[in-house]
Amino acid sequence: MSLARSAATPLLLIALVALAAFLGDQGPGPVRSATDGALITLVVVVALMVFSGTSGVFSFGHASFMAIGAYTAALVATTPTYKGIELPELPHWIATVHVSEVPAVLLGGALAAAFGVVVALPLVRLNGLAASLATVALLVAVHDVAENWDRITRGTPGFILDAPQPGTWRLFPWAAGAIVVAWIFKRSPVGLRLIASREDPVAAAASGINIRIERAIALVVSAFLAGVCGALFALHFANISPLNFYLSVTFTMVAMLVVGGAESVSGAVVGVIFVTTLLQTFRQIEEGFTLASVHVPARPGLSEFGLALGLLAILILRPRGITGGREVGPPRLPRRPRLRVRAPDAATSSETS
Amino acid sequence: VDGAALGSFFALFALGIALIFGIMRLVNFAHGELIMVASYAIYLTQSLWWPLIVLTAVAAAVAMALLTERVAFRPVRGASPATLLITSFAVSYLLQSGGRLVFTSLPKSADIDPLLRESFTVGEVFVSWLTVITIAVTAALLVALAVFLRMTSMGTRMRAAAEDFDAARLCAVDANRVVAASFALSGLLAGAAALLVVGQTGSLFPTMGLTPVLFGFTAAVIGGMGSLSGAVLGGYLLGAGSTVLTNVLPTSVAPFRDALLFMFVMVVLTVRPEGLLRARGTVTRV
Repeated sequence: MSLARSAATPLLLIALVALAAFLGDQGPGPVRSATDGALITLVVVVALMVFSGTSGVFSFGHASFMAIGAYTAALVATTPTYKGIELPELPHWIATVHVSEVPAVLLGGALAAAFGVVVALPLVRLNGLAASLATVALLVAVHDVAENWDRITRGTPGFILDAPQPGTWRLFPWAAGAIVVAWIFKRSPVGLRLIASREDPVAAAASGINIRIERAIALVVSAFLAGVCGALFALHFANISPLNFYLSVTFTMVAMLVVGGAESVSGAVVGVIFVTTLLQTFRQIEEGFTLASVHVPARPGLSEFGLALGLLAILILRPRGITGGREVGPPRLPRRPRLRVRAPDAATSSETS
Repeated sequence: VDGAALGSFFALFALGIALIFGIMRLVNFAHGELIMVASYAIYLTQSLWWPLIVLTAVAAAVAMALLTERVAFRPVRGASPATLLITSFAVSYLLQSGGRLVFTSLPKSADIDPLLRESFTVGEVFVSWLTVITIAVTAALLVALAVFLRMTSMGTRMRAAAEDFDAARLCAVDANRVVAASFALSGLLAGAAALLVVGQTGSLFPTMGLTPVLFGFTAAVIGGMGSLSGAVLGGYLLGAGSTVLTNVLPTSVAPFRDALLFMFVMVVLTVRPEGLLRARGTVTRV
């Protein structure tokens, strides 16, 4: 595959995201904020794809990497005076540090990646279900720490930042960057070896692939991206609490990835756009509206209900997601018709392959 | 005594999860929502005579268990464990938001019987009636379940399916009926658990299923996924462990008790993925 061809997919996806972000940015307030939220969520869904999509091990623990990225960025981006008021018991060296947006986000990603290294040690030894269950345990454990480590996280009520909030077009480069990183990772030797291990772990191991090491690398890359997402979340919404990084966001990101198709970057992007649109539509209905003098009352919980229903439908009807694991790209050039000299059965088998 | 009561709760939650895992390799996170559904059934019928409350709570949980099995889990049966896990999350989330739609997220309160809140003393120890009932009900259910699995033909079929699902089907075990029966049983356990939980806390809300399911899952993992006696053992160990931890840990570490417990789960999964009691048929050989 030539360079131009292999660069086409990420470029198309970035263009798609840009178009969606542009359209969303024209809408009314709630739609705009949903668009910004989707740009941020895109980063973690792509992160999830990097680990779960390539390795086939579903993670429910990525919200904990988000939490680490978010609290890191929040602590380093808030001004020292403000920190003195909110978190008087903060260790001195954290209390005095103050950096701007980009280093704060990168630092959030880096710390999440470092945590990813620690988590990888037990996690890569596990397979399939046990690994997924371990990530659930991880999610609960990190949530519990965030809720109770008052000195650093301010516990359940959460933490308000006073840092400049990045808007739509300052979030966009991060989302685009995440797509590029994921695409390069998927095409890299590590990514290809992991995909091989997903398809057939025994054959992959027999071909000399050390699944544990490849998975560990994927987890660290993925944790970095998830940390970046958490940091962006903290800076953009300027208000974080442990509940932001728990079951609800876990469910949303898993739903987005599964709906779009977990095995491709395109699936992650399509899933985010599709689910965000769906959720936004349900939210309009949820708040209640009046259509042709018929008043539909507010129904809180409807959007989650709709999302869960949609996810179930996809799982049952199209378990590989909307994209079915394929990537978007330029249409393949039609093959030149070959001379029909082969036997008919050979011709049919080459068409189906 | 607190440890034993807590352990009984955890054992009940864990049993419901282990029962289904044993047969379907499905970790049913929607089990907590069965407890939630049963609790709302209690809320709606709380003014009635108490055997009726018990009956409706159990019936609601069993009906909901069968419904989720038929609608959501049967079509994805045989898919990879990860897909099954996501499906159960989806079902759990669906029921939770359904609960919010119908009853709003505000907590409701229900009072089954004032007797439950009274307590008596044995020597120096305060014992509430609820503790006694919790332990007694759990013990009774355990005995009943054991008898059912050993003595009835459906029980034998369920044990066969848990050991080797395909081989059991070859021996003319009706897969749909066995799976439905295991869901019905887990619904029954959820109904009983709901009665005890509501009896203890008196309040109910759509996300109330979360804590039970997390601890039940923990207990099941510690004891060995798919092994019923392991689930019970794990439940009581977890109950005793968390009671001891609460009393022993210094106050600076005490809030992190649950974090420690779940890290312990990760360690167990890593060191001994099959749990304390290994269930037959859960080890994959190449």
